[in-house]
Amino acid sequence: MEKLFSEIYNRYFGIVNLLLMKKGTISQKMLRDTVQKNGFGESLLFLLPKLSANEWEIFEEQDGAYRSKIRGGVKMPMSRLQKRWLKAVLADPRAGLFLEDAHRAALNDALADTEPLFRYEDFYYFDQFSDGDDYVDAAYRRHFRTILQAIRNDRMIRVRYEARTGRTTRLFLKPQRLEYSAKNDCFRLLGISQTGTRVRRHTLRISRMQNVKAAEEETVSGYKEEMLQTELPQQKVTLCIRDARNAMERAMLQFADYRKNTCRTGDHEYRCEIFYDKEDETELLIEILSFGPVIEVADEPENEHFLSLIRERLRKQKNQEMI
Amino acid sequence: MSDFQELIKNIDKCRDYVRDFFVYGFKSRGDFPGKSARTYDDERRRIASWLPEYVREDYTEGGKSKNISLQIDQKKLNTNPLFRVWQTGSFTDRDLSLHFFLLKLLEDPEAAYSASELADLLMEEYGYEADLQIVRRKCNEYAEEGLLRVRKEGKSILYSRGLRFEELPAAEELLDMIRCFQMDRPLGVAGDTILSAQNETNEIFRIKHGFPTFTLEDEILLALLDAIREKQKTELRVQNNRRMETQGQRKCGYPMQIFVSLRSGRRFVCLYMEGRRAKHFECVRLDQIKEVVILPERDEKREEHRQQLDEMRKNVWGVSFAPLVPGHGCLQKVILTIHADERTEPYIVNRLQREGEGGSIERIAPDTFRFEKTVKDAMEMFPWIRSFTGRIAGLQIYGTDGERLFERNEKLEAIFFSDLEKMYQKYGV
Repeated sequence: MEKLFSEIYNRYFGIVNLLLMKKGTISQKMLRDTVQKNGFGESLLFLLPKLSANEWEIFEEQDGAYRSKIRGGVKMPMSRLQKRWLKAVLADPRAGLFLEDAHRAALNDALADTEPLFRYEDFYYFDQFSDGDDYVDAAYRRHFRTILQAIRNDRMIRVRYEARTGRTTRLFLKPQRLEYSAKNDCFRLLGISQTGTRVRRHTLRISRMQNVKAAEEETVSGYKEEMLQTELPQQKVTLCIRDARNAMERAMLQFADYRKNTCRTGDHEYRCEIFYDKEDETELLIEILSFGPVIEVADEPENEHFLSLIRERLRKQKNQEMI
Repeated sequence: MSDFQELIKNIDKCRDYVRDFFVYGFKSRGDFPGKSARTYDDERRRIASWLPEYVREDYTEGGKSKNISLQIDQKKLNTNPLFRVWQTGSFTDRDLSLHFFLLKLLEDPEAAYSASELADLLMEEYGYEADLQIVRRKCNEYAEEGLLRVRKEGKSILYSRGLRFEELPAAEELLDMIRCFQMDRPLGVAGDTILSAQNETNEIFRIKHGFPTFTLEDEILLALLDAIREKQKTELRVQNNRRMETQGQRKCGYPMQIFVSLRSGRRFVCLYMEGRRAKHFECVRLDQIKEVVILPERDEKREEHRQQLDEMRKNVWGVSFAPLVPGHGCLQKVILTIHADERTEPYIVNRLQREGEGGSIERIAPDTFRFEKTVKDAMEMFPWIRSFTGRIAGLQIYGTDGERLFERNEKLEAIFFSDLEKMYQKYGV
């Protein structure tokens, strides 16, 4: 069986390699800075003394400073685990978004004697939505690659987009990220546009793009850099969780993809603050509803908005004529 | 003097702590029964050292105890920070020196040396003295890991280096694929190690609905995938995360497939089990498996069992399976009626289609739709059904053998509606 917990992936090894790659002399300060920047929180305490004392005999000593005995460091060959994983993911339908068919075939040839770590059919994503993106569609692939190139090269793009309502819009965007949603099995583009001084954020499904073109302009002047970098402020909702029907563990796992603070408030009672993006509000709302009475939005003024959303749904349900 | 170390020999112990600090985030020393205060303090310190930017320390319960939690916003990540636990294995001084010297000596793809030649070269090139046995052992270890190739020439065994990433075709495009897949595909940590070795990072892709804790189960997953491929029987030591002090139980079966829930953040292995009386499929949570022992027996009828599994999955909503031989009322037919404005709320019917796991949908009246699905355990559907709160115009559950409908299961229906009543009360509706 492949080894995952192996020294060859150890962070200390990576740091040592960075030092060995350095040209010229390596001062004690350089050792310290490299360990501090790339190490764990306490690596200065555990790794630095070993390096400073040259315990591993990897440096030549010269006038009180060190020189790498291994000029240029080492370039690691691939481990079997890495090759097997690569072979496995090459079979993923999304691999064609990144690689031309000829490249894929050449890679499969290069890894011909490698057995894939897993097969696609070894996994069953039973609650994944069934209307995922069509990754083999030629237009989809073209749009995806144009966006990827634009992000890499920091270029603007022009997009003709069909919104969920059916309305078509034209956008001039700075693409920032490609987001994959595992549950929806789709890619979305996260980007921003600017009209005058107003910067707008966009989340667009690649599958709804009718046309994508790299713009001639390299970038738009006047963009406020800080707007490009910072994330929107997050919303917060506080939940009271009663640990019945294993609700606590279920909730903690289900909400694990949100940033959260949890504390115990009594026997089998917990309080959990969840931070979310405004655009995920409906999704979070139905996730909370799905737990039924074991999870309750705390009756506190700062939750008023979320409480009103829940009450509205419950009122509608109570007034529903049952068949 | 403290014998605390930042690196560890065995990942098993710390895995549970990382998981608890991340998933729960409120546990303090007293919540880890059976562990000494020293062990708890060391693990807490270690995790704070590995993941400093994500650790938050609080005093709880009136300042009586201190706890740590991991504050990770999954949607904003470039990589999974919990991959770092795999970078913490301890090593000997010799391991490190030999790693760099040997890989440098074998840098040229044409270079092929025996262990004894390598031992000589270590001394000549680097002034490093190493016993021949140790050099040979390290070379064999690296050959086992795939880093070195081995070939026999006459009586000598020669070692040369293996394939490098940059020697692969389309390596540049491949890097983008790895940037994306390292956070999403199973065992993505392997992709992360490729990026690290290339000194590359991901600044392009993000993952929504990903679960960073999955990586903590990756060693267990590796063993199970081996067993699936080799059709081998396994003995699993399973321990409920809520009752850590107990020894847990042993389950024997043939791993068939890994079931993943992207809604609840859990992974399971589906086992084919042969009991004394009945044969059946059963799912076991990966995060509750503490050990996988591969047994010699092989599943000689794998194709047949796989077909049975594919067939039975049609009546499984989540992970609850019916017996292999269906009997009276062993299945449940769920009939859900949903009210949605056809003109303004088409997305509700879309939800039934895309999330309904193949259930049938029929328009029974204007703005009214009936969804039907036969499952082993209707309770598994309740969380999903509740997500339609506000639009539920009916819920009936019947016993069925897949063809005939039997008596209505009013008890189960009452559980659903009584939960709704409780919610009306809680929210003053």
